[in-house]
Amino acid sequence: MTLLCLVVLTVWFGLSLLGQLPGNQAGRLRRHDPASLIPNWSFFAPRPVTFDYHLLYRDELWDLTITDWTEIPLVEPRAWWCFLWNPRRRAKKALFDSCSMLLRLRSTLSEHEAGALALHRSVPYLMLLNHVSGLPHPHARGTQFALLRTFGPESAPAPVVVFSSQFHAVEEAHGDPAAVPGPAAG
Amino acid sequence: MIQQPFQVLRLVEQIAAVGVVVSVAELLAARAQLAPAGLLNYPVPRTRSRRLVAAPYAPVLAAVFDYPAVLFLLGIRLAAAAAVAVGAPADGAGTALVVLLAATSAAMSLRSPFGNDGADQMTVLVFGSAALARLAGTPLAAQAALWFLAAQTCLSYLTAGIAKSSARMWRDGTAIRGIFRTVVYGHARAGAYVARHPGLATAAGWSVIVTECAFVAVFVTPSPYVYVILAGGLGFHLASAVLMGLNTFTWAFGATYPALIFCASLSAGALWS
Repeated sequence: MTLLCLVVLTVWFGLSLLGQLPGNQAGRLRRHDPASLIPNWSFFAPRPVTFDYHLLYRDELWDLTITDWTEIPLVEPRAWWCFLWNPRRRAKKALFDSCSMLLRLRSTLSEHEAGALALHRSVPYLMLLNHVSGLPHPHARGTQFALLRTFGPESAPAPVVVFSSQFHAVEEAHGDPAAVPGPAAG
Repeated sequence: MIQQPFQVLRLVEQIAAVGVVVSVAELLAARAQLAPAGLLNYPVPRTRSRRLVAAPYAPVLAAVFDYPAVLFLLGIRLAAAAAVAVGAPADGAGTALVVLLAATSAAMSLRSPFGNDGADQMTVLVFGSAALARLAGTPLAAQAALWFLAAQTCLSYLTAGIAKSSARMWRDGTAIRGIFRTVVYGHARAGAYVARHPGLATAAGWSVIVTECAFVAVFVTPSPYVYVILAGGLGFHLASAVLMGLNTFTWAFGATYPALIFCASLSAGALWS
């Protein structure tokens, strides 16, 4: 059993070393590692997080009017005690992960129909759509989400809309997302 | 005095377990995000892998990971972590608790990659290696686990340090100013201060690069001076907790410091004696 332990730890560390290499090798390794046993240690490098993503949505009502954009309040300043207790950190990180993955994926896909379809069926797109659709949408037949990128409270440069989705059908209580015809995405 | 490897490993487990208690309690406090419409749900991220959807074991995983069943999994994880934090015994019961923490750490990473961070990755490594060592039950296995964790910590800092040193925005302070001005990882007062003092941002960027790249010197630094390097690393995590809200990194990475001290004392001892 000791020998097995030594072998497993040696292989695990070897794979961890490979996992830090830049390029496709590490990516291929991670595709076979759904439980993230191989760490990725390049946090905040080389390009750190220097902006925030905000998730907004608007509804198309049954009378065909479009509501104003509403922000889902996920990105809020931390309280002073968050160096010990920070329960909102995972939701904020999940939002950031979803936005980063979605934008990275969009940059690799074509703008043709097949690329758009792949994007709309992607996990990060569905993560954001699922979250927005789960909110109450009174009197709405469809909803659309958008991602806003801001650069701090003084916000210079100005905030930028970096993504907007299609309109998707929602149920009034809980959305069951499926694409429906609607106004063109902005 | 060099301690027995299992004594050191138990200290590693205890510190990491405190981090798990905090982390799981935070998840339970934000449990609405674990529900189907939350950002920490399971039904959507499971679609990232065909196996998680179509494999014969997929319904079992769904039964464990879906809401509200996942709350039960987290409850077990919280109880195990609390028991280990106060000192898991060296016997079979202690081993079972550590194996349980290793399994649930990997399970939560498997459930969803969204919202996870480096502290979660280090926690998987700590309890995975500790579980292996406990199952083997020999001092050699415990020593191997300590070396594994010490090497992983050095690898993490070195990887991050080299990657940062290759980026101009880390070298000229833009990165520090940019991070601190964000809401998610920033700090309003620190952000305003470094915006007024760009030289300080540059110095902070370089100090992060140097701290991370030089950390590996723990293995060749003689005893009294090695604590200066370790204090630098710990200070870095405390600053990250206060200024960036990365609270669980302190526990997950701090847990490996006893392993670092143990391995550094052996390697530097052999080098300088």
